[in-house]
Parts: sequence; C-alpha cells; structure tokens
Amino acid sequence: MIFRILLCLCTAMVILEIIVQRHVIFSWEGWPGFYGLWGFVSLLTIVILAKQLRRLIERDENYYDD
Amino acid sequence: MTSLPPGIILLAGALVLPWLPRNAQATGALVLPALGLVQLLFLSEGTFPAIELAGLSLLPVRVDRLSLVFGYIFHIAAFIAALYALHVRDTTQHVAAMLYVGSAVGAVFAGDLITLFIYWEVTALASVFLIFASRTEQAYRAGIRYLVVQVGSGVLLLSGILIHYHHSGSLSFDQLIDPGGSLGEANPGVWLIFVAFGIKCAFPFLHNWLQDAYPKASVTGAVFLSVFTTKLAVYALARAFPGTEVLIGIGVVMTLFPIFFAVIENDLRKVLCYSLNNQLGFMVVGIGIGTELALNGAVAHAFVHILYKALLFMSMGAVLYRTGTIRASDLGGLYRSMPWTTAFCIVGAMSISAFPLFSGFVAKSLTLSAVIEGHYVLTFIGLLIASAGVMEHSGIKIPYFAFFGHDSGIRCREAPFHMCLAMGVAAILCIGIGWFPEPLYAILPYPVVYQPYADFGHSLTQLQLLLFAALAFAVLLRSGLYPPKRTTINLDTDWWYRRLTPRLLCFGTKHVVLARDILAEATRFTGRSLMRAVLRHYGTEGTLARTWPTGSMVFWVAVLLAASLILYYV
Repeated sequence: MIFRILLCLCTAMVILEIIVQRHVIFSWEGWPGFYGLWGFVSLLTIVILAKQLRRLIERDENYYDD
Repeated sequence: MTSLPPGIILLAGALVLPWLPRNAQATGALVLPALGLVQLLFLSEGTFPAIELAGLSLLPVRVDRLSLVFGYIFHIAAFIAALYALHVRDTTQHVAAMLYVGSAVGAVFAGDLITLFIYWEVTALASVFLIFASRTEQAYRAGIRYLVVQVGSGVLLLSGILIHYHHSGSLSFDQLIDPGGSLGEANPGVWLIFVAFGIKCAFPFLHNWLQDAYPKASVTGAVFLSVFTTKLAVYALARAFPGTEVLIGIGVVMTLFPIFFAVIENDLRKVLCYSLNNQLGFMVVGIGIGTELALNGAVAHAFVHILYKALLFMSMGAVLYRTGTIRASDLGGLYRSMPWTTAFCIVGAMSISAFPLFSGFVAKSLTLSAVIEGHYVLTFIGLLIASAGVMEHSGIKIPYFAFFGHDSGIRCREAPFHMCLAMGVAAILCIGIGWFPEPLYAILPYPVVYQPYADFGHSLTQLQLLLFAALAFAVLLRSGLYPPKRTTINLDTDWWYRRLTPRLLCFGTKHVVLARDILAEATRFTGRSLMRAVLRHYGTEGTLARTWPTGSMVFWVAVLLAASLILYYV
C-alpha cells in the first residue's frame, strides 16, 4: 500500500517536472527525471556497497570487551 | 546585565546548582539558559575592554553577527535539552551540562585565541561527565578515550597558538589565512590550530571519538553532546578559515563516508552520530567555499541542524529511556506505544532529509546554491549523493527501524510529558523555520537575498530526489537485498587505538621481556663459567690455594737456586 503511494508520488513528480519550467544551471541537471534517477541510483549503490563493507568490518558485539 | 560576558550566567549558575535542593536542580538548569538568552538579546555588537595579562593583551568578549547566531542557538538548544532532562535527579549531570553550555557560549564570544583555548578545554572537561553519567564500565572507558582526544585537541590548539604568536605577534581570533591564501603558505602554528579544530569537527580519520563516545552517554547527556562540541568547531572554522579551499574536499569526504557506516550500524544513536558527521560535512563545504552565500549557508545549516539533530537524539533517547535498548535488532513497531515520539521523530527525520517546508531545506539550499554559483561540479554531485544518503540513514532508517517495520513485541508507555514537550518545541521550530525562513535569514552573518521557495523547480527536484531515494529503499526492502539487522558492531578508525596499538604494544613488551630474559640468561651463564674457572684455580680446593708441604717448597727453592746458578755460569 505504502509502496504504491510512493510509486504514484514519484510518477507525479516526474510529470510535474515536465510541466513546470525550471531554472537550470548545468545542462545535465535539466534532463527530465535526472534528480529522481540520481537519488534512486545513489541510494541503491550506497546500500549495496555498505552491505559489502560489512564483510570487512563487521565483528561480534563483544569484540572489544574480551 | 549587558556588562556581563555571555556564558557567565550559565557558568556561575552551574556552581550554584549543587547548593539547591535535589529536586529543584533540574528546574534551575532550565532557568539558566533562559536567563542567558535574555541577556544575549540585550547585547549589542562590539567588544568588551581588553585585559592585560602577563604582557599579553586579551579580548575576552567580542560580539558580532557570527558569534550572536551561535550564541542564540546554543541557548535555545540548552533550554530544550534542559527541559528534556527535567526528570534527572543527578547533580553531576546538571552541573556538567551547564558548565559545558556556558563554556561553549564563552568560546563563541572569545575575541582572542587564549580565551578560546581556555573555554575549549572546559567544554572537553565538563562534557566528559555526561558520558560517565551512564555509570557503566563501557561508558567510563569511552569517556576516557573521549577525554584523551579532546584534551589532545586542546594541546594542539595551545601549541599552535604559541607558534602563531611567535610568527605573527598576534593573538586575535580572526581569519588566520588571508583571503586567497592557502593553508600551505601559512605558518606551522596555523596548521596546528587547523588540526585542533579538525579533531573537534570530526574530520575524516579524526572523527571516531564522536561515534565512540556519544552513543554511550546518558539519555539526556547525548542530547547536550550532539549540540555543542562539533558546532563550536564549525564556528571556529567559520571564524578562522573561511574560504580555505582544502575544506571543500574534506567536507565532501565527510558527507560521504559516514553514510556507509550508518547503513550497517545497529545502535540507532550511533547511526545518528554518523549522520551528525555527515551533516558537519555540508557545513565544512560551505566554509571552504567562503562566499557570503556559502558562509550564510554553513551557519544556517548549523542553526537548524542543532534543532533537528537534538530532536532526533531526544526521540531515540526516549526510546532508550522507555525500552532500555536502542539496538535496531531489538526494536520495531513502537509507534503503537509511543505515537507522539514517533511523530516528533518523523518531523526530525524530514527536516534532516531537507524536505521542502522543513528547516533542513531552507538551510541546505543556501549552501547548494553557493556550490552551483561557484561551479563546483564534482562537489555538487557529491552533495547530491550525500543527500540521498541522509534520506536513507536519518530520514528512513531511524524512524522505520525504531517505530515501524518488524514488530518487536515491546509495549511500553509514551515518553514522559516533559520529554514530549521538549521534542514538541524542537519539532515546531523545525517546521516553523521551514515555513518562515525569514527570521533565521535575518540573523545570519551576511545579508540574505535568497528565497528558497521562489524557484518551484528547486523544491520539485529536491522532492524528486528524496522520493525516488525512498522508493529505492522500499525496493531493497521488498526484494530482501537490504542488509539484515544484526547484533554486531562495525570497526572504524577507533580500531587503531582500541585494538591494533594495544596489541602492538603488548607484542612489543612481550618481546622486550623475552630479549631481556635471554640477555639475563646469557650474562648468568658467562658469569657462572667465569666464576667456575676462577674457583678452580683460586678457590679453597683450587690449585693455587692448596696448602703445600714445607719439603716441597724447599725442593722448589733448591731447584730455582740451581737454575739461577746454572744461568749465571752460562
């Protein structure tokens, strides 16, 4: 349910962006949906990379106590 | 009242608190910041008379727009935190908190470096008691580590001040690098001061005292801690190093690396510490760019950040206070028991993620505009990634793991009324500043012409970024790719001094002991053989100590005489 609302909101944002004239400074920043895609990909990459980081630095909770 | 130095009401008040009845101390601690704020409102810009001390001319109080903004927000935050701590019946915590706030306020109004150094050290000494206040072995150890780092920063600061004084003959706490100059051309004293500020500001690799100590502080102590130390450092950087380009790079790294640690961290207050570190990065970038717009952005960010970060620490503190745990793996589904805390936490989360109409947005937009204006493309891209990261760890993870998600089965009472009230005040300020940023813009160090909502496209793209990031989070959760909650800890740079160095020292001493033992054994062996040889010849049974019969002596004398006779003739 929440997922569907989120999907609707995201779609609405992209449609709104096409309708609304916005002020662009860097040309790539003006591509429709750039910010959405960038946010989506960033978060995906961050979480996947962090998951890999776990292999390297994850330790038992009592690691420093013994 | 205006002739009193700012902060002195809090410092003097802290010394009076222990003499009040125990149940009046918390109220006393609430009155002090309110009085301090009133004093500040009547304070006019300018400096107090200089003091001559040991041949040095000191300027203990300098009031200008930059110090005033920090003064205001420090008092407001102290009031909110004291309201939150109204149930605490622990003299040490109230006294430590007020000394800590008072010295932080004193430091932002310091006009010379020596005064700054004194307040700098008092903040370190006072704040450590808020960590000790948990009264656990772990908190004690973390407190000691915190103290070593903080006092270390003070020692570096003092050394830097002395070298800088030797080079320049000036003690004034002003811009230490000329506009357009770089850190490389400055004298070594300035470098040391820079590193001292960097430690308190949690620069990359100097940051881990923060994530190590703050999560172990008491429920209310962590709220105080989240406000002052690091923002004092931000103030100091904004005062002494505006426009120092190296800060841009440092800031971008600071916004990015803590995100990864925050994603996999199980202790939710530690997640907030990583998030705090990431937020400091935005401010450091603003200071590094150094234009009026960017500095306004950094200061506004510090102002609103203090409010929403304190709000988030308060909501997590309330969870810890009611459930006794703050581990994500033990929590979930608390919205049923703590609806108000949940709502306040969500306001904090939306503010820190910089949703339009929340306080984070109106501050972050200033910095981002300055980044765009200066055409710092890579920095801009870095900050966009960091914004998605903030959305992940503070915007979604904190409220989702504590209050929603998997139901932990914990049923507890809502946070006490005064805690809800403190969170409510902070939440109202977060929303209020988001809707009406003008009063905040009016107190910034430089005039603001910026209007965050003038360009609807900006709000739209920000919303798009955040909502799509939230969508990515939902996709990850649904597909099971999101890293599962586990009761583990993650190593960070504290590993170097908590594990590697002790191990190396242990290894070193073990081998020194071994070498000493081998040497001792060798000496013993040589000495013993030597003594044995001596004894063989000179000992009681030795050849040379034997008692000889008189006849043999006469015989040998005769032999000697005969030999000499023969030699004489030859």
